[in-house]
Amino acid sequence: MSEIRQKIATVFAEVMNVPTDAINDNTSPETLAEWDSLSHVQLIQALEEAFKISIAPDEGIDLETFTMVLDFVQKKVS
Amino acid sequence: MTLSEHNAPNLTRVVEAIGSKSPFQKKSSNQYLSTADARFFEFAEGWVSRLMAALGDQGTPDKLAEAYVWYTKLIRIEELYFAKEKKYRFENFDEVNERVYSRDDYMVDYVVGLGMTQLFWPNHYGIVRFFLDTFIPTVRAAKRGAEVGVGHGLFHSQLLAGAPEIETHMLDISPTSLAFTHKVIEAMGMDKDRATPVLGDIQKQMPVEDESLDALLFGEAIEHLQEGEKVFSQLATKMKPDGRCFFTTAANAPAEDHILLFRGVGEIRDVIDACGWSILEEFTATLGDMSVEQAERENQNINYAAVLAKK
Repeated sequence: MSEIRQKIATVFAEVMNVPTDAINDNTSPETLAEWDSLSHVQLIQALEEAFKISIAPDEGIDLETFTMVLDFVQKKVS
Repeated sequence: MTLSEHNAPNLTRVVEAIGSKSPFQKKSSNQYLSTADARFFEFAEGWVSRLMAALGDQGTPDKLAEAYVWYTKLIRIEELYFAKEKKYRFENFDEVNERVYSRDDYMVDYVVGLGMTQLFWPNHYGIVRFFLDTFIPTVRAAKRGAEVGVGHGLFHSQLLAGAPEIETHMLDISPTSLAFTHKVIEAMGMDKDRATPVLGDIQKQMPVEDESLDALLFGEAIEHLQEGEKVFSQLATKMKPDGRCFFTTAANAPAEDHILLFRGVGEIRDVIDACGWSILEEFTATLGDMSVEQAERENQNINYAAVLAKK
């Protein structure tokens, strides 16, 4: 697993309070019970902190799957 | 009981449509409905049916779902802003009026989306129940009433139903809200002419006689106004001595048209007192099982409702 992918998975796991191996490419609000509107706000804040990036509200709102988050963060840090 | 076990065909179709449009709303609505009682399902079926009737040809389950998902997305965007900046994005009424209330087509989706939150947001439904079970019994014999900001018409129509002799004035800056509320009243089988529409900015003009009101609804309005406290103080002078006001607002509740930021219940109570009102009954609700204290510490949403009398 790439370093960024691993780091994002760790952020997810910490925010959602689940094991890291519960996070994978299929992770979405439909597959992960802990991912709801409230934890989504916390997730965006945690990603900003972990990667030292800024995520505008209308960008963060559309990040609805793990792979969307991964693609977004990879673009932001590159 | 599950949704499928209730006789709620319109609600069922709306819930299915919501689920197809948003994974977040699918999850939250399914979770919520799994614990709802029979009273909820009866009320919800009635409300979605009336919303569809008020929309006329556009009144489909898909339209309701689309408006709800759109509205919740707007809220979630503001929640992301608020989490970062710790303040509401907009502070000026004219700006909000230009973005929201003055746009007729926009306002149709807005009032429908907001109307749907009265069912699918547990806190908002809690406020509806408080309104029906605690406020309405205090105004059953009311003859004259008013509402500031009728919005989707749920509370105004229920006031007319609960106080059969009341005649009212609907005060709103949006012609869309006034027209929509009339349609909701008609969808309940009542005479819309009992509710007189009054178009205008309540901050500039308050066309209500002093000491004339038995019942006043001032719900989810003060936080939308630049001069909310001035309006709230003036409204106290419009009440008869035994009149009752149904007041609601929210703390830490970002929205595209929220200007006045309350950070806790104490601040809300202070404003109520400063504006010349006494609290007779109260209702508060937070997200999940969070205490009010925790919500205040963590800048999380608190919904507040009260039955008031003028001091």
